[in-house]
Amino acid sequence: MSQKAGSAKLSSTLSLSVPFENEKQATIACKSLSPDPILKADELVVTYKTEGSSLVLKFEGISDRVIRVAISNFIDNLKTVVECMDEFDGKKDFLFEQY
Amino acid sequence: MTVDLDKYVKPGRDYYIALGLEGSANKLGVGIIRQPVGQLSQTNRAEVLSNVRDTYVTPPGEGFLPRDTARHHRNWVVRIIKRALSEAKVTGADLDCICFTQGPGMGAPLQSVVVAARTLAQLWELPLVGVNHCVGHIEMGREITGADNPVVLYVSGGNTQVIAYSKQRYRIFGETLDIAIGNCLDRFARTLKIPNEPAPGYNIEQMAKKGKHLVNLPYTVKGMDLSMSGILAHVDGLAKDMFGKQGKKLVDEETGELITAEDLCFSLQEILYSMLVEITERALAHVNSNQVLIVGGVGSNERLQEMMKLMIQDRKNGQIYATDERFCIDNGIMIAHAGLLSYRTGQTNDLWNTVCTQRFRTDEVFVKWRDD
Amino acid sequence: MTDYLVGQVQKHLPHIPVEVVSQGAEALVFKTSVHPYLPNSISPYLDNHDEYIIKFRPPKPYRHPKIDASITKNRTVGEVKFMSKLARIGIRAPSLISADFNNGIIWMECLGQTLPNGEVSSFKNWLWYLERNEIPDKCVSDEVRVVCIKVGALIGRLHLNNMVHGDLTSSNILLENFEPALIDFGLSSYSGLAEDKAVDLYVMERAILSTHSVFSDKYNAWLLEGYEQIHETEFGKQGKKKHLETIRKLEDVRLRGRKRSMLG
Repeated sequence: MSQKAGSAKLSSTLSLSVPFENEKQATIACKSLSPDPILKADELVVTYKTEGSSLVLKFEGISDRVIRVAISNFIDNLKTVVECMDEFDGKKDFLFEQY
Repeated sequence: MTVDLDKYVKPGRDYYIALGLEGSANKLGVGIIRQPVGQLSQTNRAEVLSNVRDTYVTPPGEGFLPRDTARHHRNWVVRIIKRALSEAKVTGADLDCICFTQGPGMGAPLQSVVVAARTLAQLWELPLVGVNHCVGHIEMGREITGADNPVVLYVSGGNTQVIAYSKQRYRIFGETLDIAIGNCLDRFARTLKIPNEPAPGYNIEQMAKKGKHLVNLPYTVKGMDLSMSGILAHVDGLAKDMFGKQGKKLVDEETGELITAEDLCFSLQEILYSMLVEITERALAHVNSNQVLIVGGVGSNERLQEMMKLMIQDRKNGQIYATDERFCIDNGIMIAHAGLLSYRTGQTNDLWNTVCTQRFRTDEVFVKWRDD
Repeated sequence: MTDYLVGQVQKHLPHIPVEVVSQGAEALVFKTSVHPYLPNSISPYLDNHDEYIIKFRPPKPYRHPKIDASITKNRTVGEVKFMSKLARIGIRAPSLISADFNNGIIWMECLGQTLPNGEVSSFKNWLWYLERNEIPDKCVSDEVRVVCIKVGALIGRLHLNNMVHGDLTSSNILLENFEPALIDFGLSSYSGLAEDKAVDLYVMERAILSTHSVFSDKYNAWLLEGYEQIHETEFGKQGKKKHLETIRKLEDVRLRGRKRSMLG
């Protein structure tokens, strides 16, 4: 985790790039994950964007700990998004068999 | 009624299908409902295509924590969605919309489920509809029982409300001033270390059936509101005296027999349910109604239903409606049903407007699909 | 059914002609032309000599018999005591005539009139009548405002005497020539605590919101206006202080209501 000078308050930052199969999936992931607000906006800022078929996040927080927690949460939710994509993408007309 | 519910029907179809996702507490539910065009009535009813649920159960003495509950929901949500689709024998292309619980409830579990709802909605290009959990219970209860305009007693782990409809809102006439009924029962179950399987309240009910002696507990009704934390503290204190280190013996005043854990469960139920029935009757008298609908997890309690029945028999033309545990206990189908009604009046949520909220009062919802 | 309940009251009051007025939540209210102990039904203290009210708390079959007996007796005794104190300090409420504690019966003065639609002139029925039959302007007319202020003042006087109603709704206020009177004291208590008074006000505020939702903001504001006025006019500086204390608590209670967790 890299410490960056600059804003004294949000001094810890981390960038994360998550590759998807295609641009559409990266956009969907971005829109699924970004609406939920950060509870303590003065302690942590997360920005989401897509670059090609990647989802790129930037975490800026007051400490490494805050960022660790945020990333852990992000990865939890990312797993749901990826699992949904694996199971449902391109299967709008698919009849799921008795599970 | 004059609300047009069919402006958004898919061309060439005379029905709607919605998928609903619920995860505001320890139950994860997915349901698929089908509504025919036109006003719903006893001869034009909605059809439950599937209603799948998985409950996160904790060991005796432990409640469910938000983080762990959210993890449970994340682990299961995709599997439960697939199961609901396969049982209903519908495809994504058959759906009109995807409905999700927007609140009230526990933040982390709600959020864990809405992420799946958002992703699925985008993958299949379907609109999202956010649903108030309490309104879900009310609309499903009305649909299943045929109660057209009842006073609703909503009793669950997190809610205790007496509700009646007026002017496009479900208005709260009475409610708990502190803890919810289900929470009160759950916490007492934890004190007694009763198993949480299948549900702590269910196990208290079974023990209460074996209780005979009534222990004195406070009775705290304030108008149409009630308070339960004092009662819980009192009965918890008795239990700790009896089963803690002191091993204090309590005897029944009349018979001289020992008071048991079963007696405590019995007394707690008797006092709490008397209060619930009383505030319901107060609301009935206040709004000049004679129909009662019980919804929410605690609504499946047989003793509560029996007491409510006895109350309603003494009222002119009184009628009572209750649903079984498929619909009483949190489920996805009620979210699909209420969400679909909302969808049919053009209410959908764009992605930025799908953030869940722990506090979402029943009377905040504009009930656009009714205008009676 | 209700006929069976009428039978019950007649068992306790043989040969007394009764007519059901309403079935409240915990009591049946009857009218009768008979005074229980005065000949010719002439009571020097009452304006209305033609009719009396009999309030009967029937046994509630849903309650455990022990709980039922204790609630019926406590509330009947409590209501009677409360009413007699109200009469002593001059807060408008029905005058007490007689009571049977164990059978849950109270005999009292008949207050209120009949509205043009045949309903009893409770605050609730009057507001509903205006809402259903008149142009909307009537619902927030000066007349309504004045009545709301009077109701607020009445509650204020109650609280200034350290008395708490416990079930303040628009149904539990009767209007007679636009003068409000309090009824139904089964849940009443005595308390000087700002907290208890605030909960009393909160219960009323919510009842107005749910029952008269269209104009509830105005009604509640007027009620609180009357509530404040009486504190100052009748109790001066000290009243002002008490009022402030209760209103601060009311804000707390409201916040508690909104912030209460609603899990599941």
